[in-house]
Amino acid sequence: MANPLEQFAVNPLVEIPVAGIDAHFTNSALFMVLAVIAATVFFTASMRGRALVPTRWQSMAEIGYEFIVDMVRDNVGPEGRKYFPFIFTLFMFILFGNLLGLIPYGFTFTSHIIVTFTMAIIVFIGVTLIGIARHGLHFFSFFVPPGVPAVMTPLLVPIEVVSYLSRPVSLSIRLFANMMSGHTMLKVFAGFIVPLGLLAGWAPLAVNVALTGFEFMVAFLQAYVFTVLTCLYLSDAIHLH
Amino acid sequence: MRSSKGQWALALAVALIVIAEPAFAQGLPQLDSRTFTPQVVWLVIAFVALYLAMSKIALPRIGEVLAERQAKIDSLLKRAEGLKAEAEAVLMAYDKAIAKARTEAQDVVRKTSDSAAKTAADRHTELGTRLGDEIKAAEARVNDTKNKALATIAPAATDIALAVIERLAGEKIDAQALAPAIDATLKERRA
Repeated sequence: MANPLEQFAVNPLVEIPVAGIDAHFTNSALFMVLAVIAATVFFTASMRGRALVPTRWQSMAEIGYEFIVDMVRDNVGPEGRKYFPFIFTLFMFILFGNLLGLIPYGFTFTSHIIVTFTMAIIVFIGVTLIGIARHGLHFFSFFVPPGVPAVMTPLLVPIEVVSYLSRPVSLSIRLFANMMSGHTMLKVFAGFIVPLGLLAGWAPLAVNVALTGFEFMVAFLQAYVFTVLTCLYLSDAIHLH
Repeated sequence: MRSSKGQWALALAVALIVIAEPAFAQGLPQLDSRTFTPQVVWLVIAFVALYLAMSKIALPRIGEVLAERQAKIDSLLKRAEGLKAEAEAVLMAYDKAIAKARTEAQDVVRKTSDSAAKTAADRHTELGTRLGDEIKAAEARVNDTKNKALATIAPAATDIALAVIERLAGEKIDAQALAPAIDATLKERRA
């Protein structure tokens, strides 16, 4: 049986060592670039007509735009308008990465913990800096839950701090684990099809068809979850409690 | 709930890795630290590129188109509201004009029928008067003729009586002497 983890292997396509930093252009980097190109083409070419009555492609681009606008407005409020381009980019980068990864023989860069963790830690640091910039030292009152007796504070503050610090971890592991497990499952079931032959091979094939549909949902859902949680963290930083 | 889903997925991934045990022996590609730097470098490059493409080109354009459409819809709605108000005003004016015309028509009808009735009554009275006059004149004429006729009866009767007396008695009588008797007889007959 083929190694189901082989699909996650990162292989350099072009070796670029820049000043001691290993900046090889890998298959992972290729799919990141493809995601950027696909998203850029999708959101610019579809809007070329600037039609008053949108075409199908323009309509899709507009739906994507309004989806994120609504998400930011509902979860962050009017103050979130400033961060809308970042949230939009985050969502589309993850979504296109997830979807491109579903192409057979493709590569899913969102199934790599280092990628998801980098994004999560950027969100975490950015959100924390925004909170401190807006509220100064008052930001740290975030770790004291409101309406709690003073006696309980020494107990609750460490819990709140740990919960806050674990945000980037849970954020990155959720996306990485979902993508990796989904793709591993697809590969495992695919590996059973030919060995089981004409008689029983249909069963894993049917499972794979269903799983592929399910993975499309997961691709969207995980991009959504990552972005919504980013919005909620941002909202916490802006409004504190 | 959030973390439970992540945990579930992680547990499933681990279970699958355990099933594919020989593969796991080679190690998880995700944990190969040699891939970290190039992936982070290219992630930053790609993300910044996408951020610039979205924030500088794509999003302003979509936002503009949406704002344009909203403005167009708003202006059309406003115009539709204006037209509706106008139509209502026209309808109101029309109703008013109709009501006014109806009242005027009723007025005219009433006036006309009044004047017609008056004319008819006038004519009727006039006709009545004229007919009365004519009747009176005719009656006068009849009386006149009758009186004239009556007046000629007495002399004629006197002449006849004188002629009869002369033939029968052979003597002439003074007409004056006969007059009372004739008058009396005529009076008796006429009564």
